[in-house]
Formats: sequence, C-alpha cells, structure tokens
Amino acid sequence: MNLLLAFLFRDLAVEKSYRFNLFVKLLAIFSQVAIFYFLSRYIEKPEYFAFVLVGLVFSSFFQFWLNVFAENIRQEQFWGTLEALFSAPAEHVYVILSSSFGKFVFNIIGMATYVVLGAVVFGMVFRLNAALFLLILLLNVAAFAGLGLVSAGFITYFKRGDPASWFVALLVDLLSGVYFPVSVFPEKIRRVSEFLPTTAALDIWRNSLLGTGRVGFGDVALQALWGALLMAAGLVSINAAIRGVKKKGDLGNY
Amino acid sequence: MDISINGLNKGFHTAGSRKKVLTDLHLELKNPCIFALMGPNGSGKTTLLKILATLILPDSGEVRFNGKDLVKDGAFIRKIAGFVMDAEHSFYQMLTLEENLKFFGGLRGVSGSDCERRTRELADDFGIGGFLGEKAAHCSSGTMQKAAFVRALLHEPSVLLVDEFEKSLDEDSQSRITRRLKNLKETKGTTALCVTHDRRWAKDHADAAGTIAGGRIEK
Repeated sequence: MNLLLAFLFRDLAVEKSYRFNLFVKLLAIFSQVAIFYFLSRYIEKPEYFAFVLVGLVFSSFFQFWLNVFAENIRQEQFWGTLEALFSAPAEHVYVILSSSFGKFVFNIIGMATYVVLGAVVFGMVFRLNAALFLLILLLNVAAFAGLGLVSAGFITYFKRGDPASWFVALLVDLLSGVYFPVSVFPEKIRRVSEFLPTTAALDIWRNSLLGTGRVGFGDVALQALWGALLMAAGLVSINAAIRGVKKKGDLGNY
Repeated sequence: MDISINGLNKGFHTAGSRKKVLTDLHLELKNPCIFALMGPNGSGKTTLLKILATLILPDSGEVRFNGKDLVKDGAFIRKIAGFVMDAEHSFYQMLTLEENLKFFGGLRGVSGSDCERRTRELADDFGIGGFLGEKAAHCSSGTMQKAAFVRALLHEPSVLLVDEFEKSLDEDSQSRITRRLKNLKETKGTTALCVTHDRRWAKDHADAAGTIAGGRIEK
C-alpha cells in the first residue's frame, strides 16, 4: 500500500508541475465527445453516440494499459531514476505494476469524464449493470496489463520503442468495433474481427453500460482465460527482461 | 551486518569482445565497520557496488549479507541497505527535494510524520534544511549529493553503499557526513562501504580499506 500511495503522491506532484497538461487532456476529451455527438445527429442515428462513446472509453482503457508500463520505464530511463526505483525493497515487477497506479487513477478520471460529459452535457442514457462492469473491468485489466508488460519487457531490454504496440492499438481500434459495428465488414474481415478477444470484451462493456443484450457465462469465462494467459505472458516477459538487463549491466541506461 | 563476498566474477560485452571487470574477488566485512574502497577509474568499484545493490547480476560467485544470498534474497537486501549513487541524476528534477524524499521514503516504507521528521533531522544535519523546498533542477551538485545521503539513510539501513563519497562535497559537508556515518556505526551497528578517491579520508576515518586492481581487492 505504501508503494501505491508513494507513486500516487509522486504523479500528483508531477501533474501539479504541468497543470496546463491536465486542462489540455480534458479539452481533448470534450472535443472528441462533442464531435461524435454532432456526427450522430448529422447521420440521424442518435444511438450511434452511445455506441461510439463506450467504444472511446474502451479504447482509452486498452491503450492506457498497453502503454503505461513501457512509458513509465522509458521515462524513468530518460530521467535517470530507474535504478533508484529498483532500489525499492520489493520485487521489481511489483514496483513496475505499482508505478502505474497514479496514472491509472488519472485514466479512471478520464474515462469518467467521457461518461459524465455524455450523460450530463449530451443527455446520453446509461443502463449500468455495475457488477458485470466491474467484473469485466477487472478481467480486462489482467489481459491488457499483461500485454503492456510484454511491451515493457521489450523497452527494458532493447531500450527502443516496442514496434508492435502501436499496431496492436490500431488493430483494436479498427477491428474490435470501437467506432462502428463489426457487422459492416466484409465477411472475411468480420471473421478476423470476431476472433479477437477485444471484440467480445467491447461487446460486454456495451452490454454492462448500455444494457444492450445478454452476456453468457462462456463470454466472461473466455475473458478470464484470456486475462490469465496474457498476464502470465507479461510477467514472464518482464521478469526475463529485467534479469537480462541486470546481466548486461545496463538497467538504467537510456 | 556482515558482508561476505566469495569468488565474485563479472564481465561485460563491449564492441564484440568480453571485458572482465571483477575476477575471483573476495571480501569479508565484519559488522560494524566503515570500509573505504579505492581504485582508478574503470577498475570496477561502481560495478561491485551495483552488484551489492542488486542492480547488476554477477556472472558467478557468492555474496551474502548476514548469510542471506544476494541473488535469491534481493528484496531483503534492498530493504536493509541504503545506496548513494549518481546523486545528480537520480532525483525527479521537476519535484522539490522534499517531494523527492517523501516519494523515496514511501518506496522504502517510511511515510507520513516519520518520513517528515527524519528528512528534517538529516537535512538539517547535512546543512540542506533550507533547500528542501527547492526543485531538484535548481539545486547544486553538492546539495544533490547530500540529498542522496538523506535518501539513503531515511529508512535507517544496516548497510550503506556509497559511490564516490566525496563527490561535490566541501570539507565541512564531508565532516558532517563522516560524523553521521561514525555515529551510525557506533549506535546502530551500520556497515558502510564507501568508494572514495581520497586516501587521507580513508586513512583517517575508515576501519579498513582496499584497492581494486586487476578485478580483485588488495588490502
């Protein structure tokens, strides 16, 4: 708990140093929500606004976990503070996981901003199934953070940007139904899209936030299995990378 | 805290070849003591310190802190040790010294009023009490070196590992820190391994001294 609070405190102090940054982030969310609200009015499909808003929240959540650990490690390497962090009396992987806590709180605030703007300013109606939403959130944290740890392992060892993570983010935005239903794809692409666990995950998000359908046990079990596999892959990857750089002796190098 | 190093080897790949830095290195430090480690640039002093700090893995050999294995019990070693390394660049430049020390104290399980009290006491003792509200980016190298000592001592470690003890410190600051090290050795039984280039300091204040040459320590 001390570790989590220490990182939360640090990130709040850093944000305080860059106050304008928070304002710009909130403005960007407002602009994005407004654009899709007026687009939905222009195409005369008011239900599209709710559809895309949940997609945007999902995409923000996915990209956050995909990138947060790699960004943190890259930033600490650049600042020269990585070795000081790894001097903490905890397993290194726990330090890396904890280092995302402050930013996770900001990400949750960002996600809530989408929802509050949608509901309060643009009159969107949510039919929240809180238990289901919290469950899928938890399972997806395991899956997406697992992917993020694989990416962080890459950065830790090679000191260069992970060439795959931006492509994964692009694929998810394009193929998982963030901006439009996957039913509009030609059949072959639709099959690929339906095979992606993120497509099923986003369906559950929409169901739990908008009450658009039923979610079966199999759907949730698949997300749990996917989460367990990716988290295991992430932990193996980051531990191997840390051991590798400690062998090479260039843990803190940029 | 006793430190026992047996047959330690470490090399690095550089430009297609492997350069051996530490070769069958042995060292026994009995609790409590101040050990001064000397040697020319590139002789492996920092590498040894980073191995002891669990930031670099040895190729072979054994290091034990009171019987605990360095590789297997890394988290334990980090809990009982304090490190003073790369002071200028290992703080968050956009945060004040106080914010930095609060964060690093929190990482080591020292938080709240305990952390504030110890920070204030150590900072005043080392003569940087008046700089706690300054951003790290605006502090001098000497102030940062003293802040690194404060950070390393916040959790009252049983072992202190110091790279370039005298770096950026004036005589008065060296005396204050030396006095604190001696006090910790006598009252808490702290073992300190200090890398230094100052032979006079080593002679006057260390209980034992050694020089790294050819990858080994010669006493």
